[in-house]
Amino acid sequence: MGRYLIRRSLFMILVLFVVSLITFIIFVKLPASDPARRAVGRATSPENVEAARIAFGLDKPLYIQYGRFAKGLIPWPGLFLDEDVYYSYANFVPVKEEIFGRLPVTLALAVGAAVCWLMVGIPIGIISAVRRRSIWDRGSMVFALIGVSAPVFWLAYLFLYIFWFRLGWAPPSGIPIGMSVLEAVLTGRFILPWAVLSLTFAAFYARMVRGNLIETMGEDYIRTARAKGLSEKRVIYKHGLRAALTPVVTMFGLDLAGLLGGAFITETVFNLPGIGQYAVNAIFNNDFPSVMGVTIFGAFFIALANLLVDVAYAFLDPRVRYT
Amino acid sequence: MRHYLKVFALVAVLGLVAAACGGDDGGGETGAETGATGGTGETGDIQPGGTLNLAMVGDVSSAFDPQKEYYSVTWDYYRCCLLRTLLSYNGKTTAEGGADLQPDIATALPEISTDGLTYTFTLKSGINYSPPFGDVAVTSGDIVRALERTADPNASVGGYNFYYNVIDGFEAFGAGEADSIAGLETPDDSTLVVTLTAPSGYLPYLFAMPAAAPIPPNGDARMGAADGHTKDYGRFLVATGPYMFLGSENLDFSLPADEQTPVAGYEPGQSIQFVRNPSYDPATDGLRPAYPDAINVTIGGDNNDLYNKVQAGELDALADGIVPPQLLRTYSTDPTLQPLLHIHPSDGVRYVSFNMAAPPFDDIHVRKAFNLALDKAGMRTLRGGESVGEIAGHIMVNSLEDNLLADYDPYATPNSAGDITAAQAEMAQSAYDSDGDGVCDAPECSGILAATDEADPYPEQAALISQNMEPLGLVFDIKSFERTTMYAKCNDPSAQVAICLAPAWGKDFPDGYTFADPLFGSAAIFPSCCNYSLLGASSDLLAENGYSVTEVPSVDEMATAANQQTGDARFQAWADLDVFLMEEVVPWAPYLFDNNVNITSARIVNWSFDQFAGEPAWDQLAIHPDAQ
Amino acid sequence: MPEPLLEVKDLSVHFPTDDGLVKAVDGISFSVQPGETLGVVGESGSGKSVSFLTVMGLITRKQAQIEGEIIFQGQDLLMLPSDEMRTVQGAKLSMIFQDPMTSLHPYYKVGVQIGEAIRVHQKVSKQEAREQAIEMLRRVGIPRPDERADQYPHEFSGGMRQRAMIAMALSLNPDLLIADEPTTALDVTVQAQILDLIDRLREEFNAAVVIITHDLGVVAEHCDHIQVMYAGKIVEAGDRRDIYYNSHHPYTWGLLSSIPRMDETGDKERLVPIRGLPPSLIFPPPGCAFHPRCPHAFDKCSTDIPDLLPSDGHHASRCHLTLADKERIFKEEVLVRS
Repeated sequence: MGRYLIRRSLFMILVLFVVSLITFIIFVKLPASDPARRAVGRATSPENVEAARIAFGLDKPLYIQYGRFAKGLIPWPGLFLDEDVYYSYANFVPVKEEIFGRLPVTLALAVGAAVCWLMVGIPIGIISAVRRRSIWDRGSMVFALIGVSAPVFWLAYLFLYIFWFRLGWAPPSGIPIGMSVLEAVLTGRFILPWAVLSLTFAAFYARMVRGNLIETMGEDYIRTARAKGLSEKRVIYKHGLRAALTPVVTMFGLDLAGLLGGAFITETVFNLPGIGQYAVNAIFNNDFPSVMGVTIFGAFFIALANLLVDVAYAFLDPRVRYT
Repeated sequence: MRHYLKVFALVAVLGLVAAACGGDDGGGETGAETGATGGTGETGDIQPGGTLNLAMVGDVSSAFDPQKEYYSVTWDYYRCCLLRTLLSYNGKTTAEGGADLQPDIATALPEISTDGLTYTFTLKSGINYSPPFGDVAVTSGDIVRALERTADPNASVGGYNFYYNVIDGFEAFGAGEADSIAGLETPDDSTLVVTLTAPSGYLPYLFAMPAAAPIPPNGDARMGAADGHTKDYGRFLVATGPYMFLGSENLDFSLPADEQTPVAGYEPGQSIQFVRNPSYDPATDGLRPAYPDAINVTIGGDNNDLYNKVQAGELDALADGIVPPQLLRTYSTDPTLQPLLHIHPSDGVRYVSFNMAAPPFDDIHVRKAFNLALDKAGMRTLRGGESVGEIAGHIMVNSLEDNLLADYDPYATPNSAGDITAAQAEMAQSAYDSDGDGVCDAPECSGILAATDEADPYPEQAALISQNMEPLGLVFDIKSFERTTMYAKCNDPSAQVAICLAPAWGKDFPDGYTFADPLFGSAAIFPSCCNYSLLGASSDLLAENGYSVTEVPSVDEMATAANQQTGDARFQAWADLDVFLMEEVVPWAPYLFDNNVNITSARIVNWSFDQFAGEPAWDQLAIHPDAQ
Repeated sequence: MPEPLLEVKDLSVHFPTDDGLVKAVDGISFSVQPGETLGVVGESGSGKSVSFLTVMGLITRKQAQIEGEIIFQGQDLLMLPSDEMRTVQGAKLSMIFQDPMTSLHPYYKVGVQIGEAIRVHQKVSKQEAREQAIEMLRRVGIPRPDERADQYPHEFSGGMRQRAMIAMALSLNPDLLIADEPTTALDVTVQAQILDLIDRLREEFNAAVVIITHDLGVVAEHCDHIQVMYAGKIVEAGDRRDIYYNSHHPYTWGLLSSIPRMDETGDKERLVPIRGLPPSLIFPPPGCAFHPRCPHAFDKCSTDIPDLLPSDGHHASRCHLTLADKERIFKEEVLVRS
């Protein structure tokens, strides 16, 4: 296992390198304008544009420019997203400071939504699988269809409009100035965002759990378990679910990691100052260091989650062993 | 069973849709406090106090660094609240003198020498900085310091320091060729003498810009408090206005710059908080009533959701929002809500610019015909209807000409809908219409390369333009781009864009120089910016870029002469230039003078619009006493 | 005659499907005496597995229409409420299945799975259950059972897995063990070992055993009684001698002829398969279900369903042929070949 971990960690760095290279190339090749020109605003002198280019290091050859960013890839404190290079053209704040400052909000959103979707999706999936073709099953699959099809931004607007503006049941969007993330969670500011974000995932997980559990319950070892005289509950949970949930754990790890890179739409509509909102602004502002920083950060989490999930798989499924 | 399922799904969807479209009756029935009923304007109710709650969809452009910020929303925050300058504005509309310079730190408007090259300012005493510089008074040297920072190309990235090149020695200092700005002298702490390279009547306006706001001294550091903060002084900004950033007193300028903690009152991308500046003495000011005790701005969110919050009373106004059309309709038609709706000219113009070196727009008749054929009212409707602006009949916004040309529209058409007959009559005089039937028949009139913005509503506007010009035989090859890319293409003569369909321009300060020079000056051609029509282009430049046209008329002389004027003569000179451009040069077809449309919450009982920034004057918005 | 351990009377199991009613088991009756071995032979679709899955209570009225009686130790299992049935399952009546790899849960250790079976029916601690499981593993001939108990099914070989399943099935000393194709998934050499094991354990535990298989060769040495099923019915039942040396049904004859023999040299005789395909269980052929494939069918066979008639106390067959014809055909055609 140790050798496996080392190999995977090295591979992770390779992944970050490839991701950063692709991001860099996209940026360079995009027909959007020169960041220096963007930064200097509209009516300016060529000297100002040139000064901006030098300030941003844009006068150097592409591979040197990339090299400066590449150093910040290595997920080691002090090196990761170093502050000289990863410095926003748009608001003159180091990218690292922004990301880590916004991490609590994104974490609260991601973890809260994850808890919600697990608590909603898995039971629904189980009930559907166990009571196949009943009204429960039909109803939950309609729910799943809606949840998976409804675009997040539409749901977000809809919920805000209905539950806050019209009914006054939920607090308004955003976190008031000066309120800590913890207080915001406790005063219910995250309820609508969690609901919106988890709906899609809950629907997806309900379908997945249902499918997996139906498949698992058709396995021979379930028949054996029944033949031993086990109660149906035990058969479903200890034998069926245990096997059905293993792929769900994998998906969960990846989904959660993806969200840690920022739930773009949810954060933007609900005005939650998380990493997703930061990324959206950076993209619209064509602010390359910020975009690169957020991409690397997100990629790092996803790569890490991939690794953790694979390792977890070895613990969950004894047939899997790594060398 | 399956049939049942479909019905269930259909009902669910309809239910959701019904709830969503449940009609918008304006004021939300939320539990939020609406405080005062009735709107604004009851001056007897004005009592200072309370916290003004604002929101912005996007952040300020350069983290509040006064040398870098080139954004009118930030300029508005500076003027109303944070930074005093030698001269300033009263935060009101043009009619109420909002476009006129007023003394702020200076005791009076500057004395101008007879040759127009020397300006002398006298500073008031007793104006101190915000904590931690609470016992430091503003001196003329502090103004010089601000200008030295403005001259530093690294500190002014994104800014507008090119305006200050008119000060003698400014450019040299910025290039590192001199160790001070020759044209700035401080005989004593309350006197500043400015010497110019050439007479320029716009100089006083430059001392009303945030880039010229004083920076306090700090030990021996040349840049004072801004020393070491070349990138990010905005987060350490020292105020002179009635407000300062929350937590300013905790700034510690004794530490090395990279160890200092930025001010709490500005969280980039998240929030802005102003509190009263204890050092501010209203007796030294007359321009800022400063009603609210504090101003809180949240950054980010969705435009429509934020306006819902304004309706619900959660927010008082937006600084950079666009009022949704449905809401605008509701507020304009409901008499109880009308007082909360505010519409003012924002001093921006929307236009179509012609590349006068690119056929068929090298022919003045074609350009005039275009102006006559354009359905300006239709262009306005596509932008949202009558409230979004006034039809533009000329180039410079009216406040720059003191309303002298308010009724001037040389290509006026009935209902501003375009007059194809008149247009064809004009086209018939063009060399490109060989048979004089009013329809262009030369090959240059088809496939005309046009650049437009891909965001709504520009594509629909481009379609309208195509439709309008078709009877003239003008056929466009329209290419859409992301906004800054469009501007880049329109600005670059080598791109061969013949007509630019979606540009807009706003003043930087209330003087015609901010239009004349960057839009029509020959020095403003690529690689510099914004003379898309190539006025005054040299024949070498034209040849290099593959144009067969060898010359384009220039207005440089007229503009320079106008720039030397002051007072009323200056307004007249800009007006004359505008008329000349519209009738003899025709570089554009202007169609709209933009309005700034805003709504306030019911608890706001006083309103003022700052013509300089084109934004509400936040310090003049008073909160109803019961809602404070 | 002592009271039978299991007596099945007129059992029918019909599955309603979208395509029609599948008559998987269509009126069978048989009994199993304590301590005896019954072999149940038939091809796929004959109803051999379904009948015993129903006996085990793994097919219930929730999934199929069940008629008839299943009397086990005096109780009609079909009338038992499910919680009472569960006390029987695994304890008095247990079953092992064809593929031990998929029949054991891949995520739990073997010792734990056996222990679970024990703990469902006996109040013992996990530790004690594990001890018992280890003992069972030893008794089925697995070396180093204490180590093996802590291993996962995928770490066992095929034969050992089947032994472990047998251990689990016998851990509570059931009176009847049903083995559904216990050797089909195993190598030939291992097959013999497992069958011998079952024999040995039957004596040790004093249990009756039912071996379900499609392979007549398997049951030859190990079963006292044999019944042959076809299309949901029993077509022939008898003891070992009856079936192998004196069978009375064309289907059985076909099965016997298709057993490959290793001692045939010289002529290199080809295997003689039964021609035709298994019948539809939704729309079985009229009359005798086997008649479309039967080389000896005559007109009565396509109209009348033959009854299962005994020819003597222990041998019965379901065929319209006369006894004389059956014996003649057997001598002439089947015995010669087999």
